[in-house]
Amino acid sequence: MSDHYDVILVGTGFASSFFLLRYLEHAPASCRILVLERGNEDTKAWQLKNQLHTSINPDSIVENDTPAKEWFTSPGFGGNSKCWMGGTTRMMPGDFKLKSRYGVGMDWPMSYDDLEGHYGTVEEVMLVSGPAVTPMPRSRPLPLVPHRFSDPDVLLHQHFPEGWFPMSTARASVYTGKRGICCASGCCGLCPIDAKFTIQNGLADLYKDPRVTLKLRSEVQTVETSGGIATAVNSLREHREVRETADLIVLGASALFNPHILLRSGFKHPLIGRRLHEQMPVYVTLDLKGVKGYTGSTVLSGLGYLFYEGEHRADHAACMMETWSSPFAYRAEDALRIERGRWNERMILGFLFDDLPSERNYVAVSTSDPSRARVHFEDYSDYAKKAADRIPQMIDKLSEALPIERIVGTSLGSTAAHIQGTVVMGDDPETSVVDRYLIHHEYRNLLVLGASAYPSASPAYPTLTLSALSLWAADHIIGSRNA
Amino acid sequence: MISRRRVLVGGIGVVGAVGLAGWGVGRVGLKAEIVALLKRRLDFLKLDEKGVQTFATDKVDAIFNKKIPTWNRLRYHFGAQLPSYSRYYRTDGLSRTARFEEGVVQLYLLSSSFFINGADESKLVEYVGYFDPTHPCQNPFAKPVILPT
Repeated sequence: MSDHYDVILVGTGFASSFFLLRYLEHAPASCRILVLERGNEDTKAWQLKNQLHTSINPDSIVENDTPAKEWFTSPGFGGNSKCWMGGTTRMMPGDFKLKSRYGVGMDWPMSYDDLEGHYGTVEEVMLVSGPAVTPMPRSRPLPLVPHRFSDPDVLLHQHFPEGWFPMSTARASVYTGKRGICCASGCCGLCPIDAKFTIQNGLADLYKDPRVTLKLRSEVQTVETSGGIATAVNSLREHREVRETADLIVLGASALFNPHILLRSGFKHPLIGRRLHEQMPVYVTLDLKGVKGYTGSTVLSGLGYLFYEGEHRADHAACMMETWSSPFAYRAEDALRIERGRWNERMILGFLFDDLPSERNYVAVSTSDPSRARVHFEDYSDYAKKAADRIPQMIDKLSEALPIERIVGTSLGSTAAHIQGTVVMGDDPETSVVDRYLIHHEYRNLLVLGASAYPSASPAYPTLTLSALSLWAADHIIGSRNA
Repeated sequence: MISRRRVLVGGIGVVGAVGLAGWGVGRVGLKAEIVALLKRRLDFLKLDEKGVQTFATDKVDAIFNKKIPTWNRLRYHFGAQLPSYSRYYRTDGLSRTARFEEGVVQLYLLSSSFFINGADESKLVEYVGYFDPTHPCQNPFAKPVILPT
């Protein structure tokens, strides 16, 4: 059989899998799709046995200049779906229009309405749990009933009915037939009961389709171009160099490795790898009087939108708040209150601020070992820090609803576990690498999927949006082909 | 006359013996500290003595069995931090020792039958197993989802 395919897809995480989901719905029986995955199969049984979500040490493929700022990555079948926590918030309409509404950052080249239907599809595939009423408009309800609020969430919702909501999450609230109910332990990185949606438990069948050939242990090194199109993918497979050609090449290797592959391939756009960003996460531990924390039915039980949308975004970042209902895995040092009878009169709140992307934070190719991505992060923007400086005022506002006794501690998280920017999308080839359909401006048969395309951050968790973008991109490719 | 080689070998032996003794004394001393700490801070509870001893051994093992940090981790600990880190780091003023003590007490309670028994102070508190949040169903406070009727 020849080494030419209709499509070569790089990566098996959310971005690639949702693209494949939609693409296969319309692809003819004769279609040949090659999927290249750098890692191993890393089944759930393997993960639990080894207490790891990947058999490849992430440090062996990422060189981090600033280790205080962590970037999580999980090579292997299913990609970062293996280790994600299952947060599935949609972005707010204003997130797409940051420049035109508030004069800061960049606008996205599409609107919330453009993605609304795709958001709904992804929520149905992931069987997302959440409330009937959400702060953003929606055309269809979430598939699963919401998780139970913690006791502090109940008070916040009663006082701020328009500002406090149950979590939208792909951690199941009811048995789905495949996935158990979230046990709120906070061991989401491995999720021993498979309560959260993963590619392995939700979309693995795509890769068994007869049109699809999955090659594990295939480290993509370069994408070849010739005559204005992308022609081939070169990879290292089982220590052997392999060259495969295709009519359509789709990178879905994460915001660390999409730019890494493009840079290794000699792509020259000055923004490739630049504008690496994620939310700035600050965690605050509060002591409460007579109110018991950690009583929700899932690890993160509440979402606060009190300081999200509004004119303040012209001056400082938006904030999405999250209630930690299981602190033990991540915030173990001050989880409990060591006071007789008041053990859990405590709550931990996460404050996620959108950061303005900066070119001084970037991904490059390691000079000592080109197979590794080098990550350099100097700091968050003043825009985000200015908002974080307002946390004391935000807590004052929350104290209208909560009997807050004192602030126990505040800390900046080492990561929000999101990776965004680095192959930015837009309408102008001067200021973006890919267009609104995630197609490379110059090489029109090359797509670069995932959160690498994000022109600006949002306080929202990125996975739902990047998955919706993959459906949007696939629809465009299918529509163009049919036309 | 004692040869230089003998001095060298003897010296290494003495240093090794002192090191091993220090390591052993450190372990024993730390275990005793943990046992005393639990009895002091939880003097209003009925603690299963054998369980307290076992927990203390497990805790000491956990401390001494920590992996040697990677070079990147060491850089982090020695100050290669983001400028923002100190800006947003605040605590309630507890010393490092006090925070360690609170952490040990918390870990013991989570590792015991205390919360399983609904924090009932009249019941004997037994050590169940060293708390590991990566095992499922470890959150003693979580309540189940209530389905709409």
